[in-house]
Amino acid sequence: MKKSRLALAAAGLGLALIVTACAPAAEQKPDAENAAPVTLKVAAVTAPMTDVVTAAGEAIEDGYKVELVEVGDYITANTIVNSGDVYANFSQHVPYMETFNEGNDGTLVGVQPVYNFLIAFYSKTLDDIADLPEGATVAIPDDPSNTGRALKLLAANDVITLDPAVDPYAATTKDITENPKNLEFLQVPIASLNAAYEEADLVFQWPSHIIALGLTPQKDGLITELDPVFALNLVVQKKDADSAATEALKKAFTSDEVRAVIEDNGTIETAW
Amino acid sequence: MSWLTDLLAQYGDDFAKAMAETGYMMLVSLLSAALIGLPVGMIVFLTERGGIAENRVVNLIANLYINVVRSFPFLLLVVFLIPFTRFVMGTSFGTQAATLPLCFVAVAIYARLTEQILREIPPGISKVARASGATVPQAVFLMFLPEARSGLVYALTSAAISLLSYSTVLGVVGGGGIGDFAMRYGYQVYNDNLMYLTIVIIIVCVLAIQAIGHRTSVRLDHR
Repeated sequence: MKKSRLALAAAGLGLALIVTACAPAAEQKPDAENAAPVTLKVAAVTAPMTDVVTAAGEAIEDGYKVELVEVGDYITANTIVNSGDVYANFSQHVPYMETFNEGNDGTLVGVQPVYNFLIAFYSKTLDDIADLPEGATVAIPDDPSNTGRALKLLAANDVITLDPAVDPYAATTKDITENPKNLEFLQVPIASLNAAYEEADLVFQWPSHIIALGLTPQKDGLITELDPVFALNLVVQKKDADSAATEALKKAFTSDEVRAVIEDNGTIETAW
Repeated sequence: MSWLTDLLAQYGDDFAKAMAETGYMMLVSLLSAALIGLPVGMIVFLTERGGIAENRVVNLIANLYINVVRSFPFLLLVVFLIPFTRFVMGTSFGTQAATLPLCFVAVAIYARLTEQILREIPPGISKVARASGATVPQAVFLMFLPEARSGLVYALTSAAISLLSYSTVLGVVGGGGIGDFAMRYGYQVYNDNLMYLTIVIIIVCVLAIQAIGHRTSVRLDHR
């Protein structure tokens, strides 16, 4: 008896999984007033992106529902939008998305910049970037688009020179043509850069992470940059760029509810 | 095969560096497994109830170390140990510093494997050790180790393969190595050919480790 009940439960669970997997990510338009709302799945990796998605869910117009899908990494967030398993994601800036498109024949587009933030270099020991000692260790991110962003910021402040033939947004440490102070670059994931702050001479970091050390770019950044190219974007498939559902999402992502989340956060600013 | 020569031309130097980093991490962690892990495993075996050097406190402490270290998801052990690594090595980043957490887990894995091998040698040997009045070092070096050596080599092979796998996440503290190479130059930039090629090379390494370990173990098996 017990066994058969277990088998039934397992079968039920399996069926539920199949049904969920088969359900279309989104219908284009709700039919009538009484029809069940259309669910738009939106993938995000971590706060504050997840908080923004939740707030947009509260703000979205009648006829739609936003379902937050939390995923473990930024590449997965793109894979599942590109395959149509979820409708949209909110996890990246446009250059990161373009790298994905190029590598995967992807058709993703950014449809709405939502927030942006000041990136900066910090130092535990220095007050001025000009005091960087000979052979100093500089910790920068290890993923392509943030590596380029960090190097571009250093080049803009004449700490290094980048090969002019290379797209600065795609630069790597190999594209450094002049390094007058013989800086050593330590490349680690964004999540490890806070630990690197304790021992490297200069550290790149996002405000959402450096705040854990009590630092802010406005107060503590030695050099900072705010580039609209890097605003966090709502991303959908190209074929959905002008759909009614996307319009509803864009409205929800620029609502007062989302504005409140961004202003409460303290490290980010609205980008619309 | 032109894609292969293209890859080699573009990434050959980085790949060689990554292999050297992995080699360094493997060598140091395997040495610590053999020189520290094996004695710790032996101590657990000797001091447990009914062992020839029964000692509850020592047994508890050694077991606690093994269990606690093995409980950590490895990535979190690395992050957890950052302040300790910085205190001991002066820095917590780079290949040398990244090897320290790998040694912690190497000792724990191999100690547990050693204990398991020793438990499987015939109980008669412990009885002979007792009856003949052998001292603990005599029993260890003349009876237990010779009896268990084939299994210990085989277990070290298994530990080596686990450590190769563990070493692949050390990019999180700038440790580099072949796993970090596959992540950064393959996965993150969608260079699938490079990623799969690297995985194939890792598989070849594992097959080689397994073959060497198996042969050595069979040769040492005197039963």
